[in-house]
Amino acid sequence: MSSVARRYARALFDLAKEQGAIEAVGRELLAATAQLEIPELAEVVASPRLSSERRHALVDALAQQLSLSQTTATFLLLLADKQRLQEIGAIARRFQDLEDDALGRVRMTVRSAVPLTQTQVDEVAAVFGKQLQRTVIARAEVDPSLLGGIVVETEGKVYDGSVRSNLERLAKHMAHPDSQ
Amino acid sequence: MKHRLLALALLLLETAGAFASEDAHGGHGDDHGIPWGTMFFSAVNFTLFLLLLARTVLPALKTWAITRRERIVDELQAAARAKAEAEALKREWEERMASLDRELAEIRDRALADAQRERERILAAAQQTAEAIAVDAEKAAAQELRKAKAELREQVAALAVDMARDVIRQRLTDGDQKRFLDDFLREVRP
Repeated sequence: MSSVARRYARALFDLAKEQGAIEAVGRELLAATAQLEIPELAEVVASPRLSSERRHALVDALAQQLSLSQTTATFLLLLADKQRLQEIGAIARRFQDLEDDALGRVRMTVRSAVPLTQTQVDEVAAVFGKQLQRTVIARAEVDPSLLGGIVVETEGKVYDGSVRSNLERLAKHMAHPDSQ
Repeated sequence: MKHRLLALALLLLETAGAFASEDAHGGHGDDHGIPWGTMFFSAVNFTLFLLLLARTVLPALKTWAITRRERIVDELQAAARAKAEAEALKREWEERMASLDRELAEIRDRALADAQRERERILAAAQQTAEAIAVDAEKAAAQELRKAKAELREQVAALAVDMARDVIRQRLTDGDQKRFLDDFLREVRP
């Protein structure tokens, strides 16, 4: 992540915090990022042949379509003027980190060999939220190579309860019974 | 020497003068007598010849004789020295020839002793090398055995895990998946 993205995200976050609209701006930023990272649109926005006025008009239309707040819309227009729209993904991720820190939230990925029910995902999030004493926002993924069990990744740590890793440990122990 | 020659010359001149005056007084009375005057002058001439010879030739002869004598003396001395040196050399060689057998025997003994020591050293080094090779070979064989065992264990483990993976894929039920999840959450719960 570039320092430019960090500075823009920090500026937008401070402004949203002053306005008491951190979550709203965060949602809008993610929505706008999802649109601007569509390859065709991203290519047009990044094109040096696109004039400043056309780029401005494009972002304005996007803001109207997504019904963005004045704060978010102005921020996107600023990025367009500074030709920093290609940094929108990094800025959104940094904003999300700042938002999570400010709201006491932690994001978590739950990978499983078979799809989990929402109840199971919520249960996992509840267990980890209790342990971390923070609100957990869980995202579920399916990875058949795990064979069974789940793998949880949060805050840079991996909690591996998959059958695959158990089999790998078993194979290692069989190959090297003397080593621990 | 010069003085003696001069005195001899004066004596001869005085005698010649006396004979000459006597010859003058008696010459009228005996015309067929001894010609003393002629003899006297002949004697004086001969004497002067001898004196001249003594002054000129004799010193050169004397110098030649002295030089020759000295050279002969030097040559005799050199010959004596050479003879002495030759005799000394002869004695030395005779002594060396006499001790040659003993020296040869000593050289042969030393050579044999050196050869024996070298043989023992080579044998000891060869023995050490052979032992080291045997130890290395044992280590290499043991290492190879350990490596082969490890590879075999790894292959067996990989095969077992592959078989287990296939069995799990085929037979794992939703109930098993739920049990895995429950077990995991039980371990994670504080």
